[in-house]
Amino acid sequence: MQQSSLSSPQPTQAASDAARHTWIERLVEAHADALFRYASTLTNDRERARDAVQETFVRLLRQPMDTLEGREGPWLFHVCRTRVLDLARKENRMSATDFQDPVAAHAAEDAAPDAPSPAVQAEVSESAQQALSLLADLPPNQREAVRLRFQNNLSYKQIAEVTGLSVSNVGFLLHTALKTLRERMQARD
Amino acid sequence: MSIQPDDPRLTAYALGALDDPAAREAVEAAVRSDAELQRAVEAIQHTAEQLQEALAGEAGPVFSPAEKAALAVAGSSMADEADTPGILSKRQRKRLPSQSVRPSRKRLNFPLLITAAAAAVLVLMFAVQSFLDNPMGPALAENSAPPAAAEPPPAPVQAQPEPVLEDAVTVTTRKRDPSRAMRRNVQTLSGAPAIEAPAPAPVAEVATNPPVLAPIDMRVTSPEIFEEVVTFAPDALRPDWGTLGGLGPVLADASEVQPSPGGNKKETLPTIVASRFATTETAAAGLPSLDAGESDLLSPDNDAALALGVRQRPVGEPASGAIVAVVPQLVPSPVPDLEVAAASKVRNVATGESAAWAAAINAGVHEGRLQSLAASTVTNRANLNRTQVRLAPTELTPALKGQAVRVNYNVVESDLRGGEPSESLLRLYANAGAAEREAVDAFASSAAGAPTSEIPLQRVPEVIRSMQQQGIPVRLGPVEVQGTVLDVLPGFIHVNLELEGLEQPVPVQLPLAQVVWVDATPPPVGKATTIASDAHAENTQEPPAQAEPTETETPASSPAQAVPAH
Repeated sequence: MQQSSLSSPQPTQAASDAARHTWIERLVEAHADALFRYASTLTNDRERARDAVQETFVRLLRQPMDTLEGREGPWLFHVCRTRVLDLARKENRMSATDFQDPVAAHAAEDAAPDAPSPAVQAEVSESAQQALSLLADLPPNQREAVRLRFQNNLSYKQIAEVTGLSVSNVGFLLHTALKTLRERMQARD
Repeated sequence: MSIQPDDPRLTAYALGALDDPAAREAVEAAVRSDAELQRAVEAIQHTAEQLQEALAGEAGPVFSPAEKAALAVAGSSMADEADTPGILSKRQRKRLPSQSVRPSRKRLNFPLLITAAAAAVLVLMFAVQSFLDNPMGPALAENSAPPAAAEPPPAPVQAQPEPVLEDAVTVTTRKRDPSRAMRRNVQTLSGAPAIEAPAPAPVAEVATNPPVLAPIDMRVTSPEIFEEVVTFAPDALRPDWGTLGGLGPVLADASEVQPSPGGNKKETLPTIVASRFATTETAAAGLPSLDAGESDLLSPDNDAALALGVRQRPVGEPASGAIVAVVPQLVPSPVPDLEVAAASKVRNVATGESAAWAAAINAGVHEGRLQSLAASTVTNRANLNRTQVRLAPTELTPALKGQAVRVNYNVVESDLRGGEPSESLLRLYANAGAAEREAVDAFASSAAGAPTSEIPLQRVPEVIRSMQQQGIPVRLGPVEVQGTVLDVLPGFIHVNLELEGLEQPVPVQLPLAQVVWVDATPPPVGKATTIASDAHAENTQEPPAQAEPTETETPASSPAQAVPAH
């Protein structure tokens, strides 16, 4: 009887493992790059960003699948953000608030193999370059909200979940950021 | 519901982010009935589209397929207790096995555990007995102590920095107090004649096979080494060094660490600024300019500070940034003499080249002027060809006379009322937007009967007053103007400003209280600047190669102002 109860769960366990593996693969494929980019915007240190993303997925491994159903993205971003901040605090050298957007600064450093060549990049519309340049001048919290919204397509609520802010705060940040960007774009035109 | 164009709810509505149906309908109704709100919504959506387009096309860091596979494999590896390859850091690798053991614990056979424990106790007893019986036991035990607990070996004399291979090796460095280490360095370097091993080399704990980050020694036994081994080539000296507090090439090329009012660690080096700079290599490769430094790079909590501009990392850790040289810590200024030692291993992201870098700079500074400068084996491998040097108002000295500068000047209301025509002009022309300028032109043409550029200076206050009376907007705030420094006076900087719309420069005395910064970036030279030289440059006394004159180069910024190196 005991033998039976011990052996019977094995196929279920194998199926569960396979499902979990597929789940993780899917999340890695869907979010790893976005998380890497996001983490890079929070810290000037690409290696630290890489570590943070890796640790995020390590955390994911400990997370029951059903607890994250439908909210994997925001959860990953939130954990990644926490990891970046933790790592920075540990090293006591957080500097994201003081400098230009590191992603913009290192845009081509680790570009994907299929990333456009510098020559092609040079042809990217002037307005896009201008928008990125102006974005880099925004305060970090606004910049983060903008990136989460317009680069990672998170909703206000999801951004609030990631950043720990209220939805109203997120709305205010995005509103202020867009207003500032609009004004500066017009001023440049 | 009353909605203004500047309402966050309108932004949320425009972005389709108003979840509450009632609120959405209310905003929708308001927008339908108000053309201004409709324009605002369109503007928001247009900005959002531009942002989306820009961010979608932005190149950013990505994981390689292999790295992604490693991340995904980590999941299954945890289940089967397999090793996790590649991408995971040492810390994670440490963690993974322990995590992977956890789920299998339930399946362990309890009697087997007891047996194993008993066996372990027996082995331990046997080992202790053998240890006590062996006359070499204590010695062996001592020798087998972990390296971290052992005293560092005595420092070799005149040890030279060893080349370091740097790769994606995970290395952790034992925490130490870098500021203390640097202070030791400084004391050592300033002591004559013999200098003994300054900073203890970082103890690296290597997680993988070689290549290994070897600790670099910067042990200098004699001050003469600086002069004997290397001197800065004459053409490496730049006239503006003397205006930088005499900190020499390190700070000349480290750009922009904003002085922090209120006083914190950064206060120790108020002249450094961090900014972007380009290198000949990055420019050739089409790479973006590199950012230089971090806000806390002078923090004593860090092992390294910035030198020659670029990101720093704690000594002993793999450097993924484009570090040209790393200075452990700079002594607080003001000090009569500055000694800086630097050693690190770095990788140039532009070239992928790894190398060991070491620098030691011994600069005698008196009254803000560089008196002497020597360095050991400092080579500007990145060939910095553009630097940005921003000075706080408190750092302006008469040495700037004749130098072309950009000034960030904060226009306040009193500038407009004070009757100083030049400052009013400054405001009028430099800070005016296109619409304002048109308004000014129109007004000036009607009021003065002449084009704006021909308004007599003495009439400008009157023009401005009239503008204000007529409600023509006059903005206040920071403006950036350029010109040539005529003099630096107590409380003022006298600048010959080149104002837009005026053919001739206008001499202006700008109150330092309103000067935010003065950019004294030297004009680019035709050939990449070689900051320091190797041994071949020693005793080079040839005159500096004449750089190609550029638009921004001023005759006054001649090498004659530089104090020659020893």
